Amino acid sequence: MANTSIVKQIPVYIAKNSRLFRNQRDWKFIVIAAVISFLVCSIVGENMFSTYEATKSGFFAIISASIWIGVFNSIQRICKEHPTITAEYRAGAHITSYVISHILFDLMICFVQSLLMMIICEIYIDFPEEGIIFQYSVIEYFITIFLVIWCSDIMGIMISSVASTPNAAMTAMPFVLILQLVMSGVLFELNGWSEKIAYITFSKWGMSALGSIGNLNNEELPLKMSLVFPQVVRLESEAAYSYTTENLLKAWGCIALIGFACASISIISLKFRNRGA
Amino acid sequence: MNNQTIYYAAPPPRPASLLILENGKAVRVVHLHGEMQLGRSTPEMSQNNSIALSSEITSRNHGTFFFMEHSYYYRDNNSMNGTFYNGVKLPKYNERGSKAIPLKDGDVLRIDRKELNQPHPQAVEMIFSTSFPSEENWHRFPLQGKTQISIGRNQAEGISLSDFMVSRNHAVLRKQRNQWEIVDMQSKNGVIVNQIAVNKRQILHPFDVIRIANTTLIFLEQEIIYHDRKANVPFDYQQRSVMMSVNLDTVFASRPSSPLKRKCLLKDIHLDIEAGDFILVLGGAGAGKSTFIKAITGQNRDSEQILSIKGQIMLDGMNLYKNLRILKHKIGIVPQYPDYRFHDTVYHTIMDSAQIQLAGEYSAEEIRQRVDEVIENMMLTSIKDSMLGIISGGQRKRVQVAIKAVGDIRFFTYDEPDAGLDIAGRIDQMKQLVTPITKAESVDNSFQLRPCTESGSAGLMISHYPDDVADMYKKVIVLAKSRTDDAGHLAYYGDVANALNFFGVNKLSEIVIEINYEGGKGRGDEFIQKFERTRRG
Repeated sequence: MANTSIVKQIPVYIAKNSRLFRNQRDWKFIVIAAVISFLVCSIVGENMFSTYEATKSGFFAIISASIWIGVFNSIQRICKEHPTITAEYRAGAHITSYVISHILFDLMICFVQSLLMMIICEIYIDFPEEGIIFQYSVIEYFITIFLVIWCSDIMGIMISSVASTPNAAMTAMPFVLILQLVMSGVLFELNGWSEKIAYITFSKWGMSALGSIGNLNNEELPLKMSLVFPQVVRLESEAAYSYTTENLLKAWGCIALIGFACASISIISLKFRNRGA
Repeated sequence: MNNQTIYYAAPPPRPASLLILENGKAVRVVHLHGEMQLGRSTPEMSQNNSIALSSEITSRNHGTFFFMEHSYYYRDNNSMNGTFYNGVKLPKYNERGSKAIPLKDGDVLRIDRKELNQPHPQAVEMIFSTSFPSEENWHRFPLQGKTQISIGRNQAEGISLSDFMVSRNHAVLRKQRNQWEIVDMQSKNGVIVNQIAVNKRQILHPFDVIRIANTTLIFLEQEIIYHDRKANVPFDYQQRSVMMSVNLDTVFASRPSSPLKRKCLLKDIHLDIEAGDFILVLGGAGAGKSTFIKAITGQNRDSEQILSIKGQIMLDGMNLYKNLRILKHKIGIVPQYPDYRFHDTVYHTIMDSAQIQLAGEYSAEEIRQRVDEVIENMMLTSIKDSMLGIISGGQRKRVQVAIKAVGDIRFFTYDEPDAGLDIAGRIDQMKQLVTPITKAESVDNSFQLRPCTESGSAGLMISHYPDDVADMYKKVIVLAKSRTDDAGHLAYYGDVANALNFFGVNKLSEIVIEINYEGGKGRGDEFIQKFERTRRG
């Protein structure tokens, strides 16, 4: 019966999230996502798939935007409700139901945001048609963007659960974003400890997924320098961007796994916070 | 323990009852009131002060119950077959009878043969209680020939209970290897046997007292007897029982970062709270009012403070801290500045709270009815579709009470709900907040509970404007800081009228001036000692 209660409480909280989404006009997050997608795609779209560097930079911009959109969706959501959660927990609410309901409700928002982003990308970027797993690569791009946005949203929930106040959460946000961007492996070469930390970032695995689908290792995608000096060629391909089903599934799996870890940390931290309630 | 309320007149006997089990007879509940004779039924027995038994092995003048110094006592009057007290025969003490023994909740008295090895068919068992419900609505459920019995709300078979807080499939009684055990079917409100929550299953012994939500069941070898609370039974204020018994020897506080650095905040707080009580908590700065509320509501740990409590809090006869998982649902805390989701409506906020508390146990229709009832009782009907962000602060506090009242809250605490309101607003606010606890009847000034709390609730309120609605408080708790140990002590617990006499003041607010050391007359220690002397007689 206790487990049944957890399941039964989830729709109650999802319905509440839905009402608050309407009443608080949280649809603005969807508009913001569309605006960001437009800005990013309109700037990077023109040169995508013309050179290796431009394509890689374009993917990096798309992944960075996706992480930002996801985290921004939820980073203030939980921390502003801490006293309410404590009161509800005392009355019989399950922290697990509460967190899962946010994750499931945000799945819908993130789906819409990903769809909008994908549509805008399609307008500005001329994606190669063929995918690794699916017949059309846009499906794989969409899955990657959706996973990154949704799991970043879960990371936002985690930060919001740990932070005591919205101010604390917003203070933590730039650090988390900088960490994600630096650890993507695009801006800097990662070695030693930084390489290990990169394994727990969405940016690394998101870049890996997009790089695979876009086949960044393809020799037909020239370096910028090769346009001027045709004799300059890439000597080594990058394993992270290997154009294989295994590599793509591994990247998606790692993104999902990190999202799952964030959800677990969120539940544990809220239970710890309310242990005396 | 000295838990009694202080009265200047002789204290009235505390409510207590005797559950009588005679072979072949319906279960009887006798309310004890002062001195009562126990004996075999004869025409001469007076109706009011006798407990008549039909058993032939009972003597005409078998024993006597009497109330003295805040406890009930029983004395066997040198009867032919004697009386067993919790399985031990009471020996003769003098020509009048045995020594008088003080009775505790759950004590079992038995009249049987001189030895217990072969029970007499007309043996009588009597269970003393201060917490059994007062209505004589007890049932017998025979166990012979059965191996499994389900207990739940509105069950077609097994033991069917009407109590709203009982789950549909709450527990199962199962006979295994000639022993009965009770299994909690992961019910919301749990199963409690002899004051301790059952962890999955527990073997039962004769006279084990089982609590399922607000229902009491007593396991006997051959049968279960139980009290089924019907809905809308009026709460009898005269027959109310002790709901919460507070016995705090010390309460120390420390910060989570330095748990060894402790400070004693409260000392020697002993008092009983009865159903229907609405109690004002008064005290100067640093007297420990908030700590007291936290300690008795099970909030012994938060991000800023850890409370180490020596003593015990009993709620409905169960140890609060040992059964916190279950009992915390029975305590409704209304904070000074409640937090809400301002963009949700009053109705949805209350409905969601009901669904969170009752999900999985009740149908959608049952939950809806419960919510409608509470909204009406709390006078929120006119604003039920309004957002919480646009209603007044006072209305929000009523919503806070309502979201607790949809569950089975037995004990409410209010932390300065009247802060920031004008005099008219404060009086109106208090009248509405007290709704879940008592409803004043104008005809005879008796108190009746609202249907949502038919089992009786109690409330404790911290207020800095105590005189606004002084007539609404049944009792006053005064906490004062002692200069000797820098801890808060009980300086008074009793009714309002006597509180004014005790402190020699005309208004409740003047009590704080009397006891406060900072900005007051600094007589805290004087009243702490005076109260202690009064209590010890």
